Amino acid sequence: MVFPKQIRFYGKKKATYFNSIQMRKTFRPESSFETSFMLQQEFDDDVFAWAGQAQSFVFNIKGKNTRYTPDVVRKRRTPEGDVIEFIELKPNIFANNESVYTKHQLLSEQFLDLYNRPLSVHTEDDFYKPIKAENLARFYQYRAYDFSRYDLDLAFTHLTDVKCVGDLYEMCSRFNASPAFAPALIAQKKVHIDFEKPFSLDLPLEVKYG
Amino acid sequence: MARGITLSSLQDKKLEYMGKKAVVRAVNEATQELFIEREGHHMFMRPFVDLLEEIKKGKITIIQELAKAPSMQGATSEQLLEINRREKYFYAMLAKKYPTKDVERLVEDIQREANDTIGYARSTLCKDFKKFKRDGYSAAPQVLNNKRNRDTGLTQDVDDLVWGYLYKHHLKENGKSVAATQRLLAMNYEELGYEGNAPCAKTLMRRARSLGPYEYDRLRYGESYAKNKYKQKLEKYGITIPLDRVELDMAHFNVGIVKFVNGKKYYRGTVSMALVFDVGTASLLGYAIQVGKNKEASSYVVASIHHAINRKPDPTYIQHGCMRLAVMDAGTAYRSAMTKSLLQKIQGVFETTEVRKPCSKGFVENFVNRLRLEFFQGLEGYCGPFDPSRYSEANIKKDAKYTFEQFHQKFTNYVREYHNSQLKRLHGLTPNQAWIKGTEVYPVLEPSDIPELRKYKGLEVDVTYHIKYGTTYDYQYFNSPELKAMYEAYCVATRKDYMPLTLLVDLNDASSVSVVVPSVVSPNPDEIVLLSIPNTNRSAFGKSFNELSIIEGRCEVLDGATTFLEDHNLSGYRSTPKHGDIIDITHSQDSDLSEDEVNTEIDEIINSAGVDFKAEEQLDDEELKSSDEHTNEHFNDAENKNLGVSVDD
Repeated sequence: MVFPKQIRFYGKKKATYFNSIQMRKTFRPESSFETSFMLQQEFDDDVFAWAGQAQSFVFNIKGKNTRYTPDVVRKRRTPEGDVIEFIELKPNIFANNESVYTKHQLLSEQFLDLYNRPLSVHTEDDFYKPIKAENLARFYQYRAYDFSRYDLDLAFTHLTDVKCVGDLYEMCSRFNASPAFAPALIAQKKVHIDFEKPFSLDLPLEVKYG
Repeated sequence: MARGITLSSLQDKKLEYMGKKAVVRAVNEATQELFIEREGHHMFMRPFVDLLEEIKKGKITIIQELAKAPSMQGATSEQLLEINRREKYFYAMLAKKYPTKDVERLVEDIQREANDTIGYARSTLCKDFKKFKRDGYSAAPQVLNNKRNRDTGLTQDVDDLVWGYLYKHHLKENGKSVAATQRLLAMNYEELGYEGNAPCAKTLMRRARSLGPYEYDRLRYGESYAKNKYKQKLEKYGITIPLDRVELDMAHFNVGIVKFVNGKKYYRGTVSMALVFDVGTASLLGYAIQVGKNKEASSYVVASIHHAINRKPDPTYIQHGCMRLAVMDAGTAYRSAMTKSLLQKIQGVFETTEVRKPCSKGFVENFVNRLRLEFFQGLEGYCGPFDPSRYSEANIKKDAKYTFEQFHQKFTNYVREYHNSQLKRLHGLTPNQAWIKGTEVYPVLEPSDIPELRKYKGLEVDVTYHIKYGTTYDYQYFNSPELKAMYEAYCVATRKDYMPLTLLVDLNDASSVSVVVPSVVSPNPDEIVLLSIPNTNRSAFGKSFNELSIIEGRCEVLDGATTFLEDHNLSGYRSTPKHGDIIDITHSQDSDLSEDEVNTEIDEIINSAGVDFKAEEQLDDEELKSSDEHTNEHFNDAENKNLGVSVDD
């Protein structure tokens, strides 16, 4: 069986821990696929609460008790209001398999009965982009950066002419702030870059503050 | 004598035939005849049965060829040790008139003398001694040429039949097992016209394995599986982004550390190191050295992580910062709540590898090997990897030369040298150059940037709270109103009149310590909650514990050791801008605090300010007393703990 190159399953003997800055909790993803999805939740401004491998549900399907744990449960803001979603993450190689598809349909029915919400299956087509995943992984930690020590209004008066990442770095090097100030601005979306493009100092950025 | 001789095994064999040399030139399987050429005679034919009879009678002797003296080049150290071990027994036997007489006693004597734990069985020793004499009084051939060189015993057609069955049933994808293949062969063996028993499963397995592991797996499990399993690493790991992946490991080194007290040398123990290695730039991000205990302790692991993430007092040691991914093994120290809690606050991803799979964190393992070869091999008193047959604890004690301070200084110098040496893996860059290059694009996130991490300190110390002075560590006092409130709540909750505390101490920062809030009074008992307690001595701000010791005259400055260097570069802020002047972006004095908040804060400041002369007087008296007590305690401790084993004794 050949998996896409980027997806790595951790297995049961190895434990990986993902610290959520937004939720102030630690989750245990089961594959790099799940880690990547968790990173996306952290960067998604519409997701205001989420949990990985949060709870097991026991359903009686065709007379048999079946235990199932959704990979992610999240609450998301939409124009129609707040939405709760149960998400199962599956690489295409499994999701397109008929028996797996049937199983998900059955589980989805159970979730509809219980919570009036279906189980949605997300594959790599829905969210997995290798360059974006790499960029988010590298910038994620800067989201914990503490800006409360600095006067951001004052800082942004100096950043009006900034056009690319290199300019931002150069300008921020003149502030009496710690070296991570500039990437933290990017990670916390105080300035905007396209995370789907390979990161370099020439990458254009947009300053939208206040 | 003729047992085990087959016709085919006699091909090209040299014989002593009726006192003359002869050679078997050819064998005829069909007629069971041999063609022999005798010295000075023409070639003649003999039936195999007659030849066997003559061998039995002793008229013909098969000349055993002497084992060729093998080249010692390429022999492993284990093989060389085994040769030396065997030769000790053989030479002792040679010295005796009747070598094989009373061998058991000889074995006992040699074992005792040479401290040999393996020993020798009587019959095996006699057999090996015979080989030793045959091989020109050398034990090398029997150790290095330890391969059986006998014929298969199967005729060519049976051999072909075996291979046919193997290829048909076993050596194919989803093929049958060897046992099942052998059963099929056994069923058809007689039908195919063969007599006797069919070759056993072991014979089949030996043949299948003779193909080699790659070919065997290719036939059984497919080309892609075999290629994947036996793939060669043809690419170098070429990333130069710092802190993307950091590997942690604990290593033990058999080098003894001593201590001099009143001119006498005392042994303190061996060295263990908790290492934090950055894979992208091949840098040693941080470490903690432990002496005397070979067990992994979480306090040292926390100290090493703490050392890794913080700026070092030595300005040339530029590697520091919070890692994005920490990879460590499943050792108790790495699984502890304290370590995990610290890694949680670093906000990255961390993973524990599978047990007994060191390759999962191969870079740090490789660095440990490099340390052994480049640093420890050249160090006086290093006894090499642990080998009970070569040395014991007594050897390490005897060889121990350096004090901890000397060792630490040497190690610091090595790390500095390593960070400035070019590495092939980094395409000729030094780890320092790679670090600078990488941090230009991804600047390091420092612990001071994460509010929760500011409280985390390295060393874990157990102390008891004192109502007047708070808590102490290394002659420094730490106290705050929160700590007192916690003490009162603890006493009410537990009905005790004392409070045991766990402190986390950063040896490089004496301005404060962190206290682990006891679970009975913790707002969140499931998590480790920390409280930062300031030093009551205001002049301790920005100084390390060692510096304070030097200032207060309790110890002397050591040359070059990292912890004793000046730390004017310790500030968490960039000191020199790339272009132009520094722009101050910190909050101005008139901040966004509301009028009420400002009033409350000022009230607090006014209430807590001022000097309480009575309390200070009492504190001074008690400080003097306790300082004397401390000094006495230190000497007692030193005598009890460190002076237990004397090398001179």
